[in-house]
Amino acid sequence: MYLNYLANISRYIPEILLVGLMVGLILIETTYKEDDKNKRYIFIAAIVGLIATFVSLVANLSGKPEAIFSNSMIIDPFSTSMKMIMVLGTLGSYYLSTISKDVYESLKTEFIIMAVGILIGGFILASANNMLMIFIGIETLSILSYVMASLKKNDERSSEAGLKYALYGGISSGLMLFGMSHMFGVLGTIQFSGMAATIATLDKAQMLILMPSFVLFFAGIGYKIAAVPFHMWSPDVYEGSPTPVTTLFAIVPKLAGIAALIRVTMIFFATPGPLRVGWVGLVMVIAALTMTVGNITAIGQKSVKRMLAYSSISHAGIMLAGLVMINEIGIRAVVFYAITYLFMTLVAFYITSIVQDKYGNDHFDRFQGLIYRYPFMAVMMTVVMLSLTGLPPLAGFVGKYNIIVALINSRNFTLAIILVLNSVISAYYYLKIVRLMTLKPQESNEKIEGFGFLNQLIIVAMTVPVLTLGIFWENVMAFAGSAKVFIQ
Amino acid sequence: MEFASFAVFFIIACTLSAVLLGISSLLGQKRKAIREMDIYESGVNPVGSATRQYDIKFFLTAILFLLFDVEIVFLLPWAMAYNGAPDQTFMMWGFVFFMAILLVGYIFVINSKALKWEE
Repeated sequence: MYLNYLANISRYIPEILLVGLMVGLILIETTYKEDDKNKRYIFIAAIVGLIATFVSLVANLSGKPEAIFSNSMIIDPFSTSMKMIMVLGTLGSYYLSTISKDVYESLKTEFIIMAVGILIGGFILASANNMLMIFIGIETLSILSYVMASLKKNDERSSEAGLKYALYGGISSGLMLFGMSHMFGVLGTIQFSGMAATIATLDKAQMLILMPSFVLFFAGIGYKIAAVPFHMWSPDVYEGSPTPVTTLFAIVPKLAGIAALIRVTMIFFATPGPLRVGWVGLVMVIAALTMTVGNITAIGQKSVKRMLAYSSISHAGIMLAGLVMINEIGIRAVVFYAITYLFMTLVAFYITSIVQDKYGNDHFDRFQGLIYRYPFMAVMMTVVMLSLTGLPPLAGFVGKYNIIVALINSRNFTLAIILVLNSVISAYYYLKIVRLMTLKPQESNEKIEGFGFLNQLIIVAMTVPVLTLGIFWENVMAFAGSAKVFIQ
Repeated sequence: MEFASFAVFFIIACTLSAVLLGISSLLGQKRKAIREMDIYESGVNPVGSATRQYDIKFFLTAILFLLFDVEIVFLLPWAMAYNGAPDQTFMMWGFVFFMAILLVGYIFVINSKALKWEE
């Protein structure tokens, strides 16, 4: 028995590295004196640790897919590529946290410690192969998220965000556990493979009895990815949390939830039957609602961060739409979309965060005339906004195009039309910020300190994928296509 | 239909609770006594305000106690399984690994002065 564990451990190196990184960071922070040298150590340790994790994930990618730890987790190209995207997201939000004034100077180390913890939760969720692992992943992710949302201790909105997040999280975890316990009662196991085998033997009426428990299960994950009936926490939390935390929330938990949902969908609903019809109907309705509600509410927002929060809700809806066909083309489209979403979100939040640090708030007006002061940054923001809208020849266009093609190939015309209409709606609020940046006179010609040479360079470097993925997308598409879900 | 009994049970449970609540609201007396508004209706009278401020240190100590307490609970099944285990060295290293992570947490608590009362 124990030999199995040790035999699998070589596939588990990324997670072990992350745990080591987290523990190491705690030790460095607490044993060294608080000075600049300490900060430099932590910065180097965090960057090196995350890059080492990324490299070990790349090494994992080439290995053959297998189930590890008594089939409780699966290391396959799909989970590994989702993990790679999540590591990049954490890396991006960590660098943002070091330059942002939104995270208190004394809490910057705690930010990365907890961010790594959230990443570990995301890793568990992405490769979970039984209900218990899904629950552990979600809780690891959530409990640290509650703390991170209230990282600005003296700020009322931040505390409110943390409390709201915790309350919603508690309720949805309870719902999910209830659904899981029901499934366990009916199927007699929490192992995905065993559950799928038992489901195949059920008759129609019995499957219908299972459907409510899957709906409850969906509630738990839907809350993490902020799908629409469970999205009410998201704008307040995104607005109240410090911007680097928001950046992290918009990437890691969302993609982890999508990854878990894809695995569950592929395992349980790949075979035709009443259960599949019910699940596809559920995901379809929720995807359509998530896109539409997210977009329509984003229109009236005054704060850019809140607008980005609603827009990230609608992007979660688009990624959910890639689930309804339950085939490899859909997954490929979702993984590709996740990659483009990562870069677009990072750039948008970087620029918003730096502008917000300068003025103390993130209203749309703060972006007025940015092009006269920082033409490069205004252009990058414009590129990202157009890409989020989904205009060619940018990455967002290819991402949306692939999902629409997959939808049309599987004859889901209604959802495809809703997606296209939503892109049109989203153009309004994305282009609003472009209009403010370029056509309005500048508010003042003060310098924004955050836009130093290095930061501008990093933002430009992160925008390069947004530009190039719209044209040279074959390689990344091949990478996304190789991210196959391994079922065992 | 092996779930028929479950469905019957579910329906009976729902109707029973609905009927009981309905009967009591139909037949029961309606009175709004002052007593019913109390925090502990048949208990002792509350003293002082419920929103009094406590020192945060109490909560911190309690939470830390809870945390390390739960870790000990995790060790209990480990200790129970230890005797019959096929490879005790492996289990021992698992224990060491677990405690090492816990120890780092403890060092963090000590160094961030969470347990210091005076300051």
